[in-house]
Amino acid sequence: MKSRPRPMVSRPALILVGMTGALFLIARTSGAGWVMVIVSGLVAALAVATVWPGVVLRTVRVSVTAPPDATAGRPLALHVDVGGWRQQLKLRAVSLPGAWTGAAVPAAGEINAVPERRGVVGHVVCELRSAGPLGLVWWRALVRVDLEHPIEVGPVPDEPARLPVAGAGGVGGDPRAGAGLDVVRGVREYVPGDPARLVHWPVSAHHGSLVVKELEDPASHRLAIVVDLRPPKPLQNSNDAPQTGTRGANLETWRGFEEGEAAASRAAGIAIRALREGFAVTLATAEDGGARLAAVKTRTDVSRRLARAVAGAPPDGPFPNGTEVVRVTP
Amino acid sequence: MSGGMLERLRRINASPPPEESIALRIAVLVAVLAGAAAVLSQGVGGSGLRLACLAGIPAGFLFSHLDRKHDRFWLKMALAVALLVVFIRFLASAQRLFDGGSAAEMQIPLAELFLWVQFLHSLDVPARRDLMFSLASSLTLVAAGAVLSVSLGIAPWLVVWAVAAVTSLVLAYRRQLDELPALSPAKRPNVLRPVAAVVAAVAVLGTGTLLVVPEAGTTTSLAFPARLPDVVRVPVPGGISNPSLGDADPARRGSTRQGNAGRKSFGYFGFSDSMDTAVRGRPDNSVVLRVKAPKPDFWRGQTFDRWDGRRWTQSDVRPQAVGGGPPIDLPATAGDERSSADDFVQTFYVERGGPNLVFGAYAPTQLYFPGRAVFQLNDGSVRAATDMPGGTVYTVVSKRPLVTQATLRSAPSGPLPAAIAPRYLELPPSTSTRTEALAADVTKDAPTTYDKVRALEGWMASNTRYSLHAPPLPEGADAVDQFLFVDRVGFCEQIGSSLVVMLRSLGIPARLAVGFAPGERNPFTGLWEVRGSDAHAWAEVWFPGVGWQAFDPTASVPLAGDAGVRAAGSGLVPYLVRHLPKPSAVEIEMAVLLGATVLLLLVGRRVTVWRRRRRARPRRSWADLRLADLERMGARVGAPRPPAQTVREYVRVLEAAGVAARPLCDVADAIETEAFSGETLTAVERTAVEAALEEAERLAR
Repeated sequence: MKSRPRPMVSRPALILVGMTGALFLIARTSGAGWVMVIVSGLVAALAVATVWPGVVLRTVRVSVTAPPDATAGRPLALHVDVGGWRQQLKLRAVSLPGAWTGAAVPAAGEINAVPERRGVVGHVVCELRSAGPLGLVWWRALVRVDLEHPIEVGPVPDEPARLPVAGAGGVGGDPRAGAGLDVVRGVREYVPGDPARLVHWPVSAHHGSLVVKELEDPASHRLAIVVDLRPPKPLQNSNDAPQTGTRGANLETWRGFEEGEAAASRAAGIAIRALREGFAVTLATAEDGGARLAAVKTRTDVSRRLARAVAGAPPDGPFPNGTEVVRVTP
Repeated sequence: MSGGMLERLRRINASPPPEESIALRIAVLVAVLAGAAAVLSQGVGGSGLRLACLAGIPAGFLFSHLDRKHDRFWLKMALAVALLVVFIRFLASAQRLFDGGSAAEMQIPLAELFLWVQFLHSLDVPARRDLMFSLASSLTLVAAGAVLSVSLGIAPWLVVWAVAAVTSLVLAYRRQLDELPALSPAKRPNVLRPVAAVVAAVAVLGTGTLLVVPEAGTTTSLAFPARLPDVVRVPVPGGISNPSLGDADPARRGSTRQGNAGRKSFGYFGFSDSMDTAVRGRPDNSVVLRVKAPKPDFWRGQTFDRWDGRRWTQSDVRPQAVGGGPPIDLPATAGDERSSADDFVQTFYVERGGPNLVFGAYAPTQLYFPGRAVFQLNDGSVRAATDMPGGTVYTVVSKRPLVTQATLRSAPSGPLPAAIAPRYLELPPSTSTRTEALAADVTKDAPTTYDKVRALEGWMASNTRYSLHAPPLPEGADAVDQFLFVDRVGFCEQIGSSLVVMLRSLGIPARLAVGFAPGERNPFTGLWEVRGSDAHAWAEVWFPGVGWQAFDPTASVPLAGDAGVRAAGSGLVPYLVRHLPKPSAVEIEMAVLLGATVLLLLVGRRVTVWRRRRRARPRRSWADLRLADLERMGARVGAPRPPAQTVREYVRVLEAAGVAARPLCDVADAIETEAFSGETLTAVERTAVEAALEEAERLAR
């Protein structure tokens, strides 16, 4: 969908209009016919410079392809395909702010955009500007391009120094778990098929027979992160209210709920660190379709889940036995 | 705070980044040089200024490019001082305004100032912004040249400037976008195409605009040019001098001075102290005058009031010296009724030397003439004290009676003033009674003087014919009688004389005026181009309360009150049709041949490119083609080949589907051998495979 192109008058065009007016007066007072010929030419040139880019800009077609995942505040490469009548113009993404890029239509390539906030981006708004071929009057058009697959913009993970849980690498736990090392629970006799790396050589030497280490079962470390992005106190200004019930945490509707963003970042950091330390992580979030309680296995899963999280009531369970629950709020 | 202000000032005055594009610099340089040439071609500036422009401006641009990355503080200081010097010189020239000169005299010093400024600026154009300023100032130069130009000579410079200016704008816009990262590193599009498209669009739209905008010049003018290239005094002060008549020059008759031997081809015998209606001379088609005037009119030179049946003379040839000014105020003369109409300003540019008559529309009231002294006769005609060679310029301010048909019809009747009658009613004895009877008969139903004049014009238009090849006047015959009743063919002298004689016979004061018809308006310069062949004679009729009004059945000049505002480009198409060169049959054939050759070359190029692209595409092998045949067959029976399926497997599927009467395993073998073994089947083997496939295809259908 494209907005109607609109002209933006530039200083050179105004100067030329002024000169044309002055020359017209000179022609009328001096009787110099050639000056009127020049005035006619300048009027024609101004008409061409004003109308041509507007007409040509209307023919521009833009399609955008984006990766499915992104992180707020980090550059994202959008593949843009610009078609239409031959012309030179510049474009940039405005809904995901980016810098201007020049294009000789038809052209295809990548532009950088930086999503400012997390959320699910279903479309990209691009701004096109053209003043060709004379560069006197700029025309501007906004093009809304619906994405084939939405971009799920996750928060920037804010990893804690230590997980806020007991056990493993958390509070009271084995610090080695936090460093990503195996935690040894005990030893047992070697059984054919055991990996050689698990052989406990000092004990084996002491025993006179092969002994292998028995490691802590990572599956025994379960962590549930309850992400509650609701504001902690009643809001003074309705403009600050996060738009719950809207379609995802859509960037166009999310307004200035900075604490919520920070909370989402903390939740992402905790989840990613926990995954790295071998925890089985479950995220409890509120989404547009309702509360959601599901495991996440990868960093991408975390990003996507938190991209869709809205300020609503997350589920408080049920969690499997032995699950440590961490609540993240603004 | 002060640090912030300083930082802001520094930022405002920071030099913009230098422009790297040589193409843009060259385009702007061409535009600037075209503008300078447009001004210099009008005779502006001496050799120093010409050298500074034609050599200095390109050198300045080169220096600016080579030095673009350096700090130029001292250069800017030096240029500022030089600009100050140039401006002071201009102000010194402007002193002439206070000495009584007109604004027109400032045009040349102003144009010189623009040229010096352009030259100095060319030394400091490191950035794109400076180049655009140069481009804007080149427009000023072109306009200055256009103000001074009175011919088509400036046209080539305008065309060059227009193309260079459009190219500059296109390149500047592209440079602006080049500073941004490119979406795709595509091949740079050709700049010629958009330039050609813009130039074509501007040419078409500009022509349309020219046909709509009002013509240049109004009844009020700021400029009253006057110029005399040479001062050659007329031998007899107040007399007529017409070197274009050669030996018949009244100023040099019987003179031992070596004048112009023989008759000049463009001389008109009416510009003399008498006019023999039997002799016209052979004025040619060369341009003798260009007239800048807001409306067309008769450019009157002098009048004759005494008729002897063949020749016109002037009854009173006592010249009165008139001086002063500028302007020279011309007193009213016999029959003048000066109205309160607006000034009608006409500037005459003499192209070829002719009579020392000051031409102008009736009734001249002021004159801007070099030398400040002229002679006026009591019919209002003005004669210069010097010859007027080519290059002479003078300006006449007239008060034209703004008459319409209605005002002329309602002119009051009554006794004629002594200055008018009997001088302008006198008729010679040779005037025939049948001439008087004809006049009375034609005008018997005309109620007013105006209607009588129109009736007589109408009769002559219907019953006589204009031709430059009138039969010779028999000896002793009355020219008017001969024209009206015998020949009925004549030129303007016979027609005008007949009208005057018939009007006088009715008691209507009339005289014969000689001068030039308005000429042809040049839609580009806005000037009236008067040619030798426009030399003309017409009747002037006196109306009480109005004065002398011109009438002429052969030339169409609207009444002053009827002439409306016209568009600047009116008459453009007829002018081009008349003046564009008419190609001969050979030239047309050559043009067609050239066009056909160009077309063939373009088509050939297209075909070559297409074939090259086609060659670059990967060609399908024999095995690919046979596989395609199998796939086509399979698709027809609803068994398309999945991409991962081998030929052998696919053939089994087709056989199972009952496609072929005999097994296609040989076909599969052949395809795989050709595709993967590196061997090539023999022609016989290929033919066998193709035959099997054809049979299978037939069955599949």
